[in-house]
Amino acid sequence: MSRDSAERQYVVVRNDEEQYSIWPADRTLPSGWHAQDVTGGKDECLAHITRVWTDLRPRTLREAAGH
Amino acid sequence: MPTRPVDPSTARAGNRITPSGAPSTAPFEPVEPTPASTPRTSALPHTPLSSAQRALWLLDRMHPGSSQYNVPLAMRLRGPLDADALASALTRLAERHEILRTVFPLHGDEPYQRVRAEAHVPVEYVDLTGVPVGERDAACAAEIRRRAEEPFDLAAGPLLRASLVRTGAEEQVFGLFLHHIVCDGPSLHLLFDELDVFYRQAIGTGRDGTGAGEGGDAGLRVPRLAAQFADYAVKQREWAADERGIAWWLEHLAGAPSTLALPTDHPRPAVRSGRGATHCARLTGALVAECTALARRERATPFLVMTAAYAALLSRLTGARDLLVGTPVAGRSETEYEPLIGPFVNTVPLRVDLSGDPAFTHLVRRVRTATLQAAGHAGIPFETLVDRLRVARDPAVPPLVQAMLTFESEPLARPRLAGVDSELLQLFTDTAKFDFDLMIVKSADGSGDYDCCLTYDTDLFEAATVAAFCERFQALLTAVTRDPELPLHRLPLLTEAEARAAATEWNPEPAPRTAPLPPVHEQVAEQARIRPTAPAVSVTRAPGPGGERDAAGVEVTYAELDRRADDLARRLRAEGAGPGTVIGILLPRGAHLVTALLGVLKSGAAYTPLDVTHPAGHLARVTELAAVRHVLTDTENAARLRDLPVRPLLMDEPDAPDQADGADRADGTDQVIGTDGQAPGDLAYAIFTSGSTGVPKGVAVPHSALANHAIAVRDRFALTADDRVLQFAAAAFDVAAEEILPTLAAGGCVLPSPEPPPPAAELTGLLDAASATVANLPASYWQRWTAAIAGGTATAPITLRLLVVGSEPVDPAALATWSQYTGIPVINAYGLTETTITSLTHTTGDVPLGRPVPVGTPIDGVRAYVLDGDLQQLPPGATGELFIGGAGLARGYLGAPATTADRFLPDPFAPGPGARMHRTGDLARRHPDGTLEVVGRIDEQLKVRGYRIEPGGVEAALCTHPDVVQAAVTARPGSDGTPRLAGYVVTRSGAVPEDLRAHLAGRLPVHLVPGVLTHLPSLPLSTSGKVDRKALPDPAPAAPATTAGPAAVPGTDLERFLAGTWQDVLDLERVGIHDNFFDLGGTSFTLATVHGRLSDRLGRRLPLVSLYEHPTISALAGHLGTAGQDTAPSADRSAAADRLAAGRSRLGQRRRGRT
Repeated sequence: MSRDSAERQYVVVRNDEEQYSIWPADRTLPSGWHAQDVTGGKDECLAHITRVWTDLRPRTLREAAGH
Repeated sequence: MPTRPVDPSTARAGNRITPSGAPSTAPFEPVEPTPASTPRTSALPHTPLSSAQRALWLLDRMHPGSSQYNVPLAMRLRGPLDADALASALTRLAERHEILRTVFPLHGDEPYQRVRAEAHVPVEYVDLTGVPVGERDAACAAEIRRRAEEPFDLAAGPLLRASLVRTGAEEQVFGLFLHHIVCDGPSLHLLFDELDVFYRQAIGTGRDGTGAGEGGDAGLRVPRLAAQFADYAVKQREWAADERGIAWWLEHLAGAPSTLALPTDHPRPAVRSGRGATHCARLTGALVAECTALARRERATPFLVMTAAYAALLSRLTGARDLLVGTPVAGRSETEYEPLIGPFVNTVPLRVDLSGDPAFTHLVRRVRTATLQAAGHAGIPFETLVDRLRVARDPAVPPLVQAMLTFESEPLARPRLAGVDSELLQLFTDTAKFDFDLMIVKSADGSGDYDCCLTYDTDLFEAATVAAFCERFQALLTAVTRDPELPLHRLPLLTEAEARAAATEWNPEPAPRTAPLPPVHEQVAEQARIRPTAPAVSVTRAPGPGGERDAAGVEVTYAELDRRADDLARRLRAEGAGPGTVIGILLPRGAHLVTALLGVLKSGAAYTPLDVTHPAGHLARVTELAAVRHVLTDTENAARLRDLPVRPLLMDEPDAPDQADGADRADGTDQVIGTDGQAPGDLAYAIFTSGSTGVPKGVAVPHSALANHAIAVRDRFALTADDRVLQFAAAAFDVAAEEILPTLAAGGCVLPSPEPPPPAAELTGLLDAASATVANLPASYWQRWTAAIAGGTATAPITLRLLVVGSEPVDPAALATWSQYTGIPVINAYGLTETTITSLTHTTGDVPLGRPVPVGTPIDGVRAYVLDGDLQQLPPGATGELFIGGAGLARGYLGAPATTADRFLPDPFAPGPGARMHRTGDLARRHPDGTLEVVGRIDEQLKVRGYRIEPGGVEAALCTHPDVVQAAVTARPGSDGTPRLAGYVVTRSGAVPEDLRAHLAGRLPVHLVPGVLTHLPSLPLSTSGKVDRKALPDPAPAAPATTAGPAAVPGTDLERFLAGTWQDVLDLERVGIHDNFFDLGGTSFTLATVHGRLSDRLGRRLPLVSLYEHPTISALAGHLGTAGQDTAPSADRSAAADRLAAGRSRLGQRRRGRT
């Protein structure tokens, strides 16, 4: 289904719960999602996410547990 | 009679295009310029037919007695009509245009054009003035319809006839009926114009009153004819042989898809009937003017803008980024052909490249380039292209082009006669030559608006679907005129009503809650407070072979269950359990399992179920991934954990709950355990699924998702405290949680199945003994149970009120059997571990065989979308990927951030910000009522010969055969290495039924009939119990061609013809008359080619299915020998005899040709 997936460009995105995902780079971001400073092929973006998203818990849960 | 625009399929004039903005009068030019002085050839003894005429002639042979290609015209004439003058005008027309008195008899094997000397056109006079006024219009309509549907005899003629029906003193309806083999759209303009001229001459209103015919007064003049249609037919033979032009087409269309998978409402029948209807909408003059302005800016024509918009819409609906749109071209390529009546129009396939998400203006430029190139080669007849491209003959699909577009900036032909007021009446548009045939034509009402008429195949489409298509087309045009730079993916696709439904009905917002839902173990504890003595878990053994009940059945009350769970929670907390930790559960079905789930949840930890059947290596990986330190198990299974770095906690030791008592009792905490410090985002469980790579993926599900699920499923299944629900699924599957938790949240009783669960045939005994009211079963197990009930080896359950099936596609035939034998309602449930068990449910009703059973609508709080490859919502009917959002979403995959980010995407359609949705990998489509249907897996979608095939659809068709119990379909390389469709069946008879292929051929288009069918004693299953298509064996190789012994040598002419055809299409040196076509490597496609040649040579229609039924030469020849006479209409015996004689003579010739 995915069109031109090999050469398609994505951007790493994050929501306010600090959950990460990827989004086609040429598309408007859905509300509540913020582009991170990483754009590239899908594998490149996912590799970045593996490095930075070390705790999958939503931010509010993480913070509550920390208190 | 209501008036309607002219049937676009016959009335089209053909598009004209030039690179400059303005429409031009220059028609397409043929490749080879013709000499200025064309010799008259129509006087030749046997003038050939044009290629379009030959195609029509062949169709007429294949469908004798059909009125499909009749062109009926009817006009109401008010005023003092001179009927004799009208009749004489008609005869003058036929005198002038030889084609109107041409017939198509045979000379040897081939039809030719014979021009009859007699030009008189018979007019039938009907006087209805004696009929009561109120009934007159209906009588007139019936009269015209009768005449319109009367078949033409192409060999004998006449192919133009007329009726004049008197309905009043000065009011009549004039019907003019032609066969398409003698006219086209522009012909009608000429016909109406010249009829008026000759009529005026006949009534003597010309200024000179002499009826000067050609030349003379301008108002009464018709141009001199320098040629006749037959000259064109001869000339066209040369163009058809233009190898340079053909080579250009072959290169231009190389790799182009020859089918466009339009989303249809009904499955495509194996043989298209040609039945059609037309839906008409309006495009405002202002909108078309905007399109024209856009066209000018892009140095294009409105036609090119319309083509780009049409192609864009087809592309978005089908997912195709390379497609063919057919368009008629006028074909009157020489000045001398312009004043001629005749079937000149040719179909030209325009190849549209939509790759790379082009802006609309960019797309218009691409269409312009492709069209201009095609225009240089438009003289090559469409039929020649189809032949030379070797497009597979599939009687289910119009060849090469399934979607047509015509644009006319002038209104269609209107009749007029001097002194009378004429009005064109309804025309009969009950045929469709294409799937979709869109005609945009300036309305004749003078408003400046355009009629947008879509003729469609009624076997495939519902009127509402076609109306919605027209609405989409209009919305798309409006959008691109406002912003021509919109990229393809942003063009609007949903109608206004659909966009509203998408925002509301498809995914209704749940009623706002005053407080967050309590976690599921709190919901259960609440029931324990309400009904402490009610049974929460009841273990009943099925009656044994002797019928005796097991006295050791166990029943646990709510109070007891709650106490045990509290005790366990305390014990776990003492071991360090709490939010953020994960406790393993390795237990068989039973009361301990239920206690374990609740105990872990109460402790604040999450649980991970481990499968008692899984190998030790798997357990090691799972416990490591989930960081499990403690596992709840029993003495029987504890040994499995011996080598793992985990501590087993036994549930079945009598004093087990007291083991950790010291610490707790010291605190005096034997009251109900609290939920302090627990948050809705905490994990409730992590369940491992086998990923496609075989590495287990741990899906982490939070309490919020599970709490929503318990309440929503309780409501969907209408569970109450009276329900007794079977616990069938193994704990390692999340369905076990669905059987247990919503039941307990409703105050009902859980009935654990014995370990292992009984064979399907013994399930009834278990359910009846336990007084079960609800069961939730995997579809394949349920299908075996249903077969047992229908076969009499099991009885229908007595107390069951609801059956839930899921995990696999549900067979509609089994559903029908189930309903017939039990009458118990069935809910089809769909969900994924990633979306917390069941997300969608459908209460099944009647489902047509061969269609998937819908999965329904989302449960409360869950959202479902069908999206295209650009993550845009698709309208009902179109197939896309299913995405699930809302309250059921898992947190993600344990320790796998990249996989989580890849499968859980931002949800652009959610009402709130920052939401996510899960990419399911399932292909789905929405019904017009919003109900969803899953059609297959994206990674299982097969591609065979360019067709995208859902194996599930073919499997469903296989299962409609009474002998077939189960079926699987996959693609395997054939002898030539290209993939072909392979079917596998489990049957009652223990072999592939002989008529299975014929059975399928009557239900499926050729491309969906497996080339090879293999019987298996059972289908290979994956560990999850689903059919494992990858583990299917290679099909039996095709038998080599047998050495033809004396008995196998073709004897009769027909056998020799068949053998020759088989050798040709199968590329074999020799074939025996008892060889099976499919064993020799034949496929449904090559069979269709044989069918085409055979019908062609026999000159009569032959049902394709008869070739499947008689797969050997001797059988087929025998069948044809006995069935030949019966297929011709009885009223046409002599014609049928002629045809047979013709067929025989051709066979003889063929034989001679080969020897």
